[in-house]
Amino acid sequence: MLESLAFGFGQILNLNCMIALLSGAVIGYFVGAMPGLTPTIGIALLIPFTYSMDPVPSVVMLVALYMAAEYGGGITAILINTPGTPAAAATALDGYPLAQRGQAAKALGMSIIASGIGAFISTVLMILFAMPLADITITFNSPEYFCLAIMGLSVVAGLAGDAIVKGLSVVAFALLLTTIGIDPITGSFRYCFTYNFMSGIPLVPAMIGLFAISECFILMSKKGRTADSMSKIDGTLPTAAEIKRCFPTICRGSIIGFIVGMLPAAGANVACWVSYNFARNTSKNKDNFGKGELEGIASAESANNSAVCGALVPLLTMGIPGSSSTAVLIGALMIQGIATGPLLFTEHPEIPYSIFTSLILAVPLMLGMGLFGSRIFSLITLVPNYILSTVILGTATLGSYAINGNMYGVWIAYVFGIIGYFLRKSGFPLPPLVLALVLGSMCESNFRKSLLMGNGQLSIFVTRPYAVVIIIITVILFAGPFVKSWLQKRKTAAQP
Amino acid sequence: MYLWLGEFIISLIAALIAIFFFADAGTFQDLSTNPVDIGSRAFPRLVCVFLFIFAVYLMVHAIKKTKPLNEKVDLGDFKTIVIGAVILAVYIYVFKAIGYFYTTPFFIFILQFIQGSRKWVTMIAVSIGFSLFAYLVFVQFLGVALP
Repeated sequence: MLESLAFGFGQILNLNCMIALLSGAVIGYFVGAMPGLTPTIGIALLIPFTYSMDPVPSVVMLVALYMAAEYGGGITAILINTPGTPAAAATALDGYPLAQRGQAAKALGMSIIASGIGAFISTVLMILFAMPLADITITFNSPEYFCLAIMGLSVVAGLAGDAIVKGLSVVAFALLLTTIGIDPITGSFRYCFTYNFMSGIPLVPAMIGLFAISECFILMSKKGRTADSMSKIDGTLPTAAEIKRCFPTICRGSIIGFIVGMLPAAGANVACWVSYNFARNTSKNKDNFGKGELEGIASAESANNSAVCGALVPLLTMGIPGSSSTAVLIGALMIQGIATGPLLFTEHPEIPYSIFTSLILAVPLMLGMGLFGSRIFSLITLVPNYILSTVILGTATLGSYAINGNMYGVWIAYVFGIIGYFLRKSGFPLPPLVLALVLGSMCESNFRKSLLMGNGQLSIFVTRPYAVVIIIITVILFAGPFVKSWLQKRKTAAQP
Repeated sequence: MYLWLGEFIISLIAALIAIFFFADAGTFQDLSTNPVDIGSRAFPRLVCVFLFIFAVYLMVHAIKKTKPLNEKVDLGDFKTIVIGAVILAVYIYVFKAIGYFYTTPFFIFILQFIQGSRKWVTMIAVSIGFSLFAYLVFVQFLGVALP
C-alpha cells in the first residue's frame, strides 16, 4: 500500500498537477459558494476544459473542485442563510444564527476545520477500503456487473412517497435513451432517426444541459442577484477547547459521511442530514441545535466533505457512481479514454492513486484557502443573475461543442437543458436520471452477456456468490425506505 | 401553472414516448446469431412498458390533484426564459455557419438585454470579455478549433 501511495505522490508532485489542484480548488470554492451552482454543474462545465489535458491533472482538478465545492457551500449558508450547495443546508441551521450574533468567523472556522478533518479521515478510509475492494471486484464478470447496475438504480427507492414513482419514471426514461444507437451485442441500429444517433446520446453534453443549462433558465427567471450585500465576518476563530469538544462529532460525522457517500445516489446531500440528526440526538447540548451550536456545523460539514471520498469508492472500484457528481466524473474519464471499475487499478493505476494522494495534499491547501479566502469566495453571490446565467450559458454551449467539435453535442445539451428545466419545475428528480444514463448500457449489455454465459439460464445470477451478495444488498437498499416508512407509521398509529 | 398540470403533461409526453419507442422497436433488425440472446428489441420494449405504467400512474395521480399537487409552481419570469431559449436555439444554429466569434458577442449582449439589464458598459464588457476568454482558453490554450 505504501508503495502505491508513493507512486501516487510521484504522479502529482509536478507543476501541472499542482496548478490543476489549486485551480480546481479555487473554482470549486466559487461554485460551492454560489447558490444554484452545485459541484455537479461545476464538474460538468469544467470537463470540456480538461479535454486536452493529461488524464492525471484533469482528474486531480475535477476532484479538487468537487471537494472544495462542498466546503464552499457552507460559506454562504453561514453568511447569508442561503446554502451554496444542497449539502450545506444543515450548516445554515446553526451557522447563520452564529453569524447573526457576530460570530461568523467562529462558524466559518469550525466549518473549514470540520471539513478539513472530514476530508482527511475519509481519504484515509477511501485508501483503506478501495484497494482491497478493487482486489475483490477485479474477479467480477457480467453477472456481477449487471447486479451492480441494478443496485445502483435501486436507490431511487430512497425517495419517499409519490416521489418514488417520479424517480422510477425518470429512470425508465433515461434507460430508454441509453438504448439509442448501436446494439452492444448484435450491432443493429436502434432508434437511429438521424445518423448522429448512431453514436448514442453523449453523456457529458446531456449532463451539461440537465444541470447547467436548466439552472441558467431558472436564474434567468429571477431578477437581481443572490445577495445584495455581504455580512461582515465578525468575531474570532474557534478556540482549541471548542475544537476539542467538537472533535468526536467531527470523527463520527466523517465516518457517517463516508458510509452514506458510498451508497449510490446518496452523496453529500443525504450524508449531512444523517450526520446532523445523529449529532443532535446524541449531543449533551441538543437543545442548542438550530440556535448556533458548533457541533451542528461540525457534524454537517465533516459529513458532506467525507461523502466526497465515499462516493469515489464505488466509482473507482466498481464503476458505479456514488453521487451525481461522480456520475459526471465518469464522463470526464470517458473523454480521456479511461473506463472506471476494478481494472482501473491495473490498467490505469495512476488515476486512483493520484486521486488518493492529491486529496491528502489538498486538505492543508483547502484549510488555508478556506480560512483566509471565505470573504472573497462569497463575493460571487453579489454577481447579478443576468451576468451569471449568460456566462454559464456561454460556457455550457462552448464546452458542449469543444468535446467533439460538432454541433450534435450542443443540440443535445440544449434539449436536455429544456428537459431538465421542466422536470425540475414539475418535481421530478434529476439524480436518478443521471444515474440511469450512466448505468443503462452497463445494465443491458451485462444482462445479455450473462445470459450468453449461462446458456439462457437466469440461475447464473444466483449461483455466483458475489452476485448473490449484491442482490441481497440491493433488496435491502430498495426495501429499506419502505420498511422504515411502515415502521414509522406503525409507531405513530400506536401512540395515544 | 399548477404542479398537477405540469406532472400530467410530462407524464402524458412520457406515455406517448413509450408507445412510439415500443412500436419503433419492431423495426430493428434481428441480427442475433445465438438463440439464447434476447435480441435488440427486448430491453427497450421492457423499459417502454415500465415507462408507460409509471406515466399512466402519474397521470391518474395528477388528475386527482391531491396536495401538494394543487399548489402553483413558481415559474418566475417565464417569458424571459422562452425568449432566452429561442435566442439560444438561433445562436446554436448560426454560430457554426457564421462563425463563433462573430455571433457570440451579440448573443451574450442580447441575453443580458432580455434579462432586463440596461447597464450598457457592463453588458459590452461582459460580451467582449467572454469572447476573449473563449479565445484565450479554448483556442490558444486548449487548441480547440472553433468555427
